[in-house]
Amino acid sequence: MKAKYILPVILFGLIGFASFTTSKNSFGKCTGDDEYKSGLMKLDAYKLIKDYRIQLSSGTPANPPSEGYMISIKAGLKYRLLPMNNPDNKTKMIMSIYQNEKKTILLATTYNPANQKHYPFVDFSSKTTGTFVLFFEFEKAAKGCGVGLFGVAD
Amino acid sequence: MRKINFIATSFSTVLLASALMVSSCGGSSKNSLEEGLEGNQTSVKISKQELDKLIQSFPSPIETSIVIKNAGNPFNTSFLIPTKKIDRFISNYDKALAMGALGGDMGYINIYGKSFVAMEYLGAIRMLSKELDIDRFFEFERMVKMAKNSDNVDSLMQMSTESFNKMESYFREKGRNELSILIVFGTWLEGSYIIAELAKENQSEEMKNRVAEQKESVKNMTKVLSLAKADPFFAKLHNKVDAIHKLYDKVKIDQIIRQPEMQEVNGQLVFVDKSETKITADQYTIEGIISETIKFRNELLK
Repeated sequence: MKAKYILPVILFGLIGFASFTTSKNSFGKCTGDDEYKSGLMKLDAYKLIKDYRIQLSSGTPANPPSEGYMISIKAGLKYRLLPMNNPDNKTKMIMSIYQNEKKTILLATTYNPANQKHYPFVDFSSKTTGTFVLFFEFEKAAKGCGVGLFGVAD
Repeated sequence: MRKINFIATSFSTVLLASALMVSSCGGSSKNSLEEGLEGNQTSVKISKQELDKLIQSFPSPIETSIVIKNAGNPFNTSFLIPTKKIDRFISNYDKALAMGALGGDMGYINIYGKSFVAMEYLGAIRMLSKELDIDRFFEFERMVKMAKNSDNVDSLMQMSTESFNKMESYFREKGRNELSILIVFGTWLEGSYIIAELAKENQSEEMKNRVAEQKESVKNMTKVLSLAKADPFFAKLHNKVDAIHKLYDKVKIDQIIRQPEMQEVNGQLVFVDKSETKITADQYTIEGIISETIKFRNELLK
């Protein structure tokens, strides 16, 4: 190997190494730990059932990226949905509960499309016991990062 | 020329080694649990996504305990798992099952704010979690401090929930599905047992309905356990739960789920639920379910 190639090889190696470590750090910004801690304070008298760490890439409004999780709901109990957004998000995270994965019937949501308003949290109760699906997405199918807290009142 | 080649090769090696080091630091390095259990292939053959869905469908111990408390039932320590001779749980399967059940008991204890009882149960959880090598998910010192002060019961509850959620997810992420299932099963069984005991004492319509509405959970639990029934331990559990599932055939639940009305009231979004549920079950069937649930739980955990 000629001496003139050594410097480019070293530089290429260093750039590769730096980008490798930086990419891990930038991913680390989306751990959701800060959002989780702030969210716990906003649960008030509600008890935490589960927290969901969400990271979605962007999509199209016709096909917005979303993540769904099965949840158990018990008739007569009062639940709280609380989305916490990463400060770098361009749009807000929406938490919605549907009857099933096909999104047939909406039970509760943190976003009201009628007035295009986001709510910092919503409380709801159900008259039915069963398994429902909790969906996460970002408004306008944007990419984003956040934590969703699901709590119950005693 | 050889010297230059040597320098370039050495530099590449250093880079590669550094990259591997960073990768191993950021990723999950092997721990003693994995090392101890490695090679012991999981007996549960199912996609992660499918198992996640089934596991998520079970109620949390907090929800079950709130249902019990809201029905006006007083706290009863005799329903809890005896913590003396915790070494009666010998195999890892027995220990995982007991861990789950103790998690259910912690939910019940915390919802009633009985922090002095929580101390004893934290001790049992600590012992089992050490034996399963998962004690790192619990901050026992902090939890014990919280239990000593009844004002901290909410923080204790939150910490217990976090620890149990992390522990169960850890097993699933690491492909130790059978241990994850046993933890969820233990929690579910303990909750069902306490409801059954209370429904035996308090024959109100509400408690009868709380027993009946577990029909879906029992069906899902039968499904989860059937995934691992190639293993004799799981086959036994599956047969027992399936027998209870069959008793639920006579419980009829008619649900009409309707879209709720959304209104903004004082800046809050309010949902007016218009759904309906009608439960039909005769007392004889409910008594049969109660009796089988109590028997099954005591065989496994008492």
